[in-house]
Amino acid sequence: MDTRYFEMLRRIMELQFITLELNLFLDTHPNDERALCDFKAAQDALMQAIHEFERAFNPLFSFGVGHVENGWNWICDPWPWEINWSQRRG
Amino acid sequence: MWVYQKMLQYPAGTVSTCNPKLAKAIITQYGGPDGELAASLRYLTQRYTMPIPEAKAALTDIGTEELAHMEIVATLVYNLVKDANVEQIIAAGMEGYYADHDKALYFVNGDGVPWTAAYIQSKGDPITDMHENMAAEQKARSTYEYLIQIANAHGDHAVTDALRFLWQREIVHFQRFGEVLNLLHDYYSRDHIFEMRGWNPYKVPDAEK
Repeated sequence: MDTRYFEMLRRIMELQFITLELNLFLDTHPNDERALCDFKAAQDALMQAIHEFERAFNPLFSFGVGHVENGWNWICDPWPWEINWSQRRG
Repeated sequence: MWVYQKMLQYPAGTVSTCNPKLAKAIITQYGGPDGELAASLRYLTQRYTMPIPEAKAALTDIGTEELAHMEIVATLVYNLVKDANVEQIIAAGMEGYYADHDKALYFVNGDGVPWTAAYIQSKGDPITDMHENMAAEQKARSTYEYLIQIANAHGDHAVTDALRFLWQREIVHFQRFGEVLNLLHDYYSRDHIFEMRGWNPYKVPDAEK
């Protein structure tokens, strides 16, 4: 697996954390315009990063949400628990 | 309905790929009384009887995040035991676990006590449930503090990093549940008798009959 795979995946994980954290904040502050604005900006970047990753490698989401091309590559390794990130500073 | 995301929430790793003794301590956050399985199932089952949308959303989303934490804990345990031989399993005091599960992941605490639904509560009183959840976050925070001490003693700074991330999430969740508790107090202190005079954001219009 080339290093770009892990670099791009790590970037998606970072953006995912931003949207998740703002999502939780917005659950209890649904009228906070600034948080909503930040959420939308992070979401745009996340969607773009996922788009690029899934076209270069494998789908990241099951049940028809992820992008499937070139055969059923959902079953391709590695699975999340098979990556030891401490030995791979992406 | 849930959709799986093929990634961890945090880039968890381990310095050692063979430390069953550390794994034996960490597994309590998988299937122990204040672990991630208990947290996730507690929140996901409480949400049905919540009266306000903020509470339903927070329980759904935090309950879902806890599933991702369960996966991080499982990844730590899996990677710490996968290369261990039987002598190392015995030296770690994990032979009882090994006899029942080999190196498979199972929901137990650090002493092998299996998970039980009695760890959690779903009381039907939203105020009671939110207090339960805030206590649960504090208990998990304490557990992560003890585990961080243990991981530090083992010198596995990568495991410590992952545990610190999980520790920090308990604090954020405690804050969000505290906000939900305040919103519930607002909801219950509001006058519901004349709600038709103004728009009530909490009243869902009746479905077409």
